[in-house]
Amino acid sequence: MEEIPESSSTLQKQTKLENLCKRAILNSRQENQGFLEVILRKKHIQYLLTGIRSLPSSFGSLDASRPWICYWILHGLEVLEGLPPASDPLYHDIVQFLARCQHPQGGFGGGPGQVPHLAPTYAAVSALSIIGTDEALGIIDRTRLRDFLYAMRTPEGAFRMQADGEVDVRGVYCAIDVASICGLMEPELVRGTADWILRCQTYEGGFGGAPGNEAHGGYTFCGVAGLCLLAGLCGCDDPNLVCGSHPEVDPFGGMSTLDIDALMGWLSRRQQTIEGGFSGRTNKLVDACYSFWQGGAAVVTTLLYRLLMSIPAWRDRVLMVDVPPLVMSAESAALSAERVAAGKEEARRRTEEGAVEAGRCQGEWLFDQRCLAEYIVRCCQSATGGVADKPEVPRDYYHTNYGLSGLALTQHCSETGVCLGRFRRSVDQTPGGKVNNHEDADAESEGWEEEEEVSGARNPEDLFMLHAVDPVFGLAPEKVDRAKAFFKAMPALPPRRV
Amino acid sequence: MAALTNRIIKETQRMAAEPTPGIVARPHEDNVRFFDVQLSGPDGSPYAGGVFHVELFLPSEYPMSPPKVRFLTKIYHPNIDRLGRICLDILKDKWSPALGIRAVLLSVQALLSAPNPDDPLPLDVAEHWRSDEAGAIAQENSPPRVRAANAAMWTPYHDRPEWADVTPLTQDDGPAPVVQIQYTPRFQEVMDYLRAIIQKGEISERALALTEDAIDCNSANYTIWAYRRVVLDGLRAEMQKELEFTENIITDTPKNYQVWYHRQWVVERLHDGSAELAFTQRMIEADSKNYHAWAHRQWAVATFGLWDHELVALEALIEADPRNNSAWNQRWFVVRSTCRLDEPALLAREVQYAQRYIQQAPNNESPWSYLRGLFSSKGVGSFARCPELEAWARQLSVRFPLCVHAVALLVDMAAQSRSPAALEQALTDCDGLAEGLDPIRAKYWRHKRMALLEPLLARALAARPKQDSGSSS
Repeated sequence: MEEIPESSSTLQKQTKLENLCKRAILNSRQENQGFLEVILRKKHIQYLLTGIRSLPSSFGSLDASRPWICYWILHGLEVLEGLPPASDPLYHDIVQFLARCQHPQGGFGGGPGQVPHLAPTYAAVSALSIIGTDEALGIIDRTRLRDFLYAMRTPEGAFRMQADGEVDVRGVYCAIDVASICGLMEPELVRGTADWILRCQTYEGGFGGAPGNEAHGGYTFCGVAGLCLLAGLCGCDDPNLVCGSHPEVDPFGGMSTLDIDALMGWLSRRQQTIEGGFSGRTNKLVDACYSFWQGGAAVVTTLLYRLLMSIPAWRDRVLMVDVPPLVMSAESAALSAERVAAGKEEARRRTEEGAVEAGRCQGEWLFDQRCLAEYIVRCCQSATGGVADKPEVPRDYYHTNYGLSGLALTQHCSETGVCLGRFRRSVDQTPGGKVNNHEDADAESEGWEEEEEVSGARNPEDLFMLHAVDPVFGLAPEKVDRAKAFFKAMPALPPRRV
Repeated sequence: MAALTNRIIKETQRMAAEPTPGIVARPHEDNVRFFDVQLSGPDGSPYAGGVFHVELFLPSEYPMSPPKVRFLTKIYHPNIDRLGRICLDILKDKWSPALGIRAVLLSVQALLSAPNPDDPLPLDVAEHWRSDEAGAIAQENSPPRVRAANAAMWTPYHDRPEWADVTPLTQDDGPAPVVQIQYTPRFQEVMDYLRAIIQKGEISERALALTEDAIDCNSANYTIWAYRRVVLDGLRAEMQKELEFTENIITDTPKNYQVWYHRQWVVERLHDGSAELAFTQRMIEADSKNYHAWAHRQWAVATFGLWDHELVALEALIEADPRNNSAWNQRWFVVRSTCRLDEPALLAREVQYAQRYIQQAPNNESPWSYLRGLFSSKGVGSFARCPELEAWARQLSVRFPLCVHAVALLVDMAAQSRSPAALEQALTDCDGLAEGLDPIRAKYWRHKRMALLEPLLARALAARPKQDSGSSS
């Protein structure tokens, strides 16, 4: 439909990837008789477990991110419901390791003896919350952690990642996530923070890393999840802690400059029409990790939207009572019936060629949950376990965790905790019998045999279900509750010495 | 996803059973299509005695398309660039499925014996090679390039007399380690010495050199960078040199937060951002959407007031690739920082700029996003500021009937109209988008309909009698 042929390098890369995804989707549909529930659960679990003790030398570039590796592996296992039993000595060993990463002055470093940094602090607190024992949560030195968070705070309410380091919205999210879990949220810590986050929203609707920077999925997640924590939706039980900079003059808890309509539009446009997964930025390629960053941001935005719409003055703003009316001509009829039909035809043709079939999922989130699930399952699962960024790229722990977390988001909703849509295999159509059709059973179809073993006495439908993920914290909801309750039961900290 | 073929299994088995001298290739633990390769420099070549780490990847079309091969060890060679990419015909147009992994690796090894300056990748290296082969070989063996890059030619710290006074400090991973990285001996030793130096708080030239070695092991280790800054300050080191150092590291690891922050720190110490435009331009040429490069450029432009030529530079980038959204975002940044968008002439200029690129490629989201932004709460806040836009969007929508962005813009305009007729049309358009033109965003269009357009229509209908009386007065 493009009028002028383009030689844009962006378009060439995009078209190439679309074709790869189409092929992967068509192949997978054919091999799995159209069903989607081909989660290689056992292989993913095996893959994740191989890294928890020892990693090859190529991980040297992650030597300052080892708490992250703990979190990716543990949370990936949690989502797969594949965590080792509580008696496994592994948990104690992870706690001991993270204790060594904790800095005497508070916060966690990327490895033993490294200076504290907000990113590994977030990862360590998250990993300890997954383990969730008194031993695990008890190693966190809250007094010192609070000192560290205040030391990272900038005068305007943003946070730098380390004492001598960059300021961006990752720092803000990591700081308030950790403060929320550990019971350290207080107005003084987050004064001005919501305003600073809102300055990161761009003309496109998403958020950049710092004011002025391009809208980006990772930073949008951090911004939106951060706002959600500040709005008291998830972090503060105290209603006085709706933490805008000046709640007395801002009826929206400090969020009066949030353009939520633009945010929702930008988030929904990040879902790629052909591939079904999310891209991180406008005109960038799909990547499985954004299944969680963009998908999670979309879920959180929906929750935020509901909260804000309950404020009458906000409703008036959304309905643009202050915007001068635009005079539209009488002939502004845009979509004729023929054009809608042509659009349907185009969508049908795309699906036939391999694009994910859109518009069938009834789930409650703002994006097409079925299309996202198809991208992760059909295009990104490695036959030997693990999830990759995109087809033909090697898997890694990061994408495995965030790909599976995003897949979990597609399966759960806020009301019932479960939202399967219409893409579940019906009970009588178990995966058996399939293997016999493939004489040349290679690594691909092995997954089915494996799943058979796993299924055992379980309901075959359970095979596809992943554990629910709290989209603000990136943890199982009950683990968030457990960690918060643990810290809430602790004696109040002595006042901070300034 | 792609299944492992018998061919790959057979080739892997054969390589293990019949090793080739000077070539060790092992499939990756994580992905059997990935091979870690150790290539020994051929005897009699400038690379003799060196061991080079190479990665080899078999795409899913293999053997119909060639393996992808890249040097991980930095190497000074006319046919291998800084990123390790190799210029070799059988890896491109001369590939044949009859060749295999072993044949490819033998050819790469042969390329080390017989560099071909007539088919170069890094032009400067080839030129150097052509004009002065002996000098080029000498450079290849000169520190710090090789010392920092090539483990085989590197002298361990415990063999260096000038480090004899330092007792290395090992990492405390505890009695039962987890996520333990099997460090190479070099990585481990460099970090052990660095820990010792940091513990002593030593500020010295050798400490500075050690941080360079450590950064070469892992440029994402923020503790090393922080210590390097302490040492640089302590030595009152020459910042111009440090600026060049950061460019080398950024070229090798362009998506590394630490080195970009470090560069900003260096530029602040220099009080001079004049080199940053040309520098970020080079980085943007290598990767036109490098987030760090654009963020750094924004910072430099704003901090040092380098606004004058920015729009012209951006226009060239957008012209080269109108889908480069980073360049569009930078345009927004410059326009919002230096111009008054509420001046009608300026607003018209920006609208026309976006329209020009939309007309070239109506499915390119970047100019649409820019256009919508101009009228959003971050821009002038209302479509009423540009009454011509509606007719333009309608005309475009008729000309490109499947263009979602045009219909979406008309829906946004209708939402601001308060006209029942326009709102009713917009409701129909939302349905059409959800059911036909843009089904993947069906839920978004339904949301728009229910949460925005229907309440607006209800208000418009309720307000109609009042409006009529208002217009007659």
